[in-house]
Amino acid sequence: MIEIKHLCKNFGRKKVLKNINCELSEGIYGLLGPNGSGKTTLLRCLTNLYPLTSGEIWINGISSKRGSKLRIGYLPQFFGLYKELTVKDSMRLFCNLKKVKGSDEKEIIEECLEAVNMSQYQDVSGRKLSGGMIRRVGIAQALIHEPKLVLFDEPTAGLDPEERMHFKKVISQLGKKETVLISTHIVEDIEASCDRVIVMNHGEICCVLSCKELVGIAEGKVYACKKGDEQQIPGKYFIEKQYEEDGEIYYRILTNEACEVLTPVSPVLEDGYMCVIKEI
Amino acid sequence: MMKRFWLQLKGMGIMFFLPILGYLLFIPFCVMILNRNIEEAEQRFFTAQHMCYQFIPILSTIWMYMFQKEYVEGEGREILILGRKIPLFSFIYWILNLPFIWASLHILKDTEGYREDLFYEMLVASFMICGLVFFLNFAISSIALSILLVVLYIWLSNVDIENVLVFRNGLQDVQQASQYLYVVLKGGGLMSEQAAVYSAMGALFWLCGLFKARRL
Repeated sequence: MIEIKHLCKNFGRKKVLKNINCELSEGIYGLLGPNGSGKTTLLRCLTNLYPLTSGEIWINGISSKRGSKLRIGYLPQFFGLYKELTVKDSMRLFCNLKKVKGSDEKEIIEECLEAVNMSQYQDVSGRKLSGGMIRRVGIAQALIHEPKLVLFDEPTAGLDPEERMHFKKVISQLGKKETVLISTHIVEDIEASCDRVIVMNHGEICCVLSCKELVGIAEGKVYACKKGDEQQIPGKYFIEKQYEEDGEIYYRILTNEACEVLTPVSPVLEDGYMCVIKEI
Repeated sequence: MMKRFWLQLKGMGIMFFLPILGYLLFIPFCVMILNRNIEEAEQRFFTAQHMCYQFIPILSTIWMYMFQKEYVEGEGREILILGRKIPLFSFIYWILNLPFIWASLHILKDTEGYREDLFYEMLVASFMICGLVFFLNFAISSIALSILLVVLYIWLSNVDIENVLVFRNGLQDVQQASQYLYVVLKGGGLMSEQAAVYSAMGALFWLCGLFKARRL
């Protein structure tokens, strides 16, 4: 159980996180928000990398101020390896950093590499790995000390579709026992793997909802209309995307104002997210 | 800790050998070339001393740069920071230089003469420069800029500073100012005023670096 109470984080005069309050139990949570909304800062506060300006974070009843003693697995947005070390040696280094017992090390490394489908690359040096492979080692190192809270910042960036599927399997297993928080821009990843979604904007949590509830927010607000017809919409609207159908250009529009030129469309998770962000 | 140190060294790859080659081959070779036509013992020693002042302080920073690069600029440094102990490992990398500095000076001993003080002067100079590197790396978070500043400082301290810049900030005359700007001890010995100044400056830089590294 993760409890975040009145969390604020300032960088100089800039308020990046503003009075965050949230409770997370076991399961997989998606963290969605536009660039600069404070997602990475929140993750870094949870890992104790950033000192809090005010507020508290409790992880399984232990204050985050005792950070090093907590079992937190973290995959940062940008992850690299020592280029001269093999995958196995890099994992040994991570084991050492996270104080994994020497006697368990070999077994745990094998398990974690197996989980991310990297066992066959154990003896390959970091220099020879592709970006996606490095990302997979990053996921493996986050799991190496059997963490109680796992934080993934853009975990599937650079992974091919097959590896993304594999990653979803790994975290669905993990989410049965632990709390997993995934920050990503890829809404399909959230839809496919997360039990609940946290939407952040301007350093605040806008809502914590299930995927179904988030889709429900956009119910009756998603429309399609031909390019040019949007000018006839009487109230506030937001053009989500543009697409071509039968040689004509259409817009996918979010609005509260139904009118003749608009054709209702079934909402998806992205529509719900955009409704929250754009306050529609 | 030994395992982590060993893996870090392994992570440096063949670049680990660069300072060793510098100490044991490059400096003696350069001194030999420069002294090939010089007969006078004092002049031969002066050349050797000058080369040591030019290269030993900068060579002593290479391992520290390679170690700290991952913490300052490396992708995924958030994970490395979990393990902390950055100041301790930085200090170990400085200590690691000392046997090689000693060996380098002893290679020169046979051909160019030797003064025991020179090793202690190098010890103080490398301590101060490594402290400066430690502080700069974490203060400005740029390895390239830190290298540039340190190389510039070593270069300035090995030329006649009075001709390069005028430094009058609170000091009475240029002669006195230049004395405090020199990183080199110019044969002052371990008990000299300069040695004390540079040891104190080095300790201060190490403490400031420690403070900055803890705030990561």
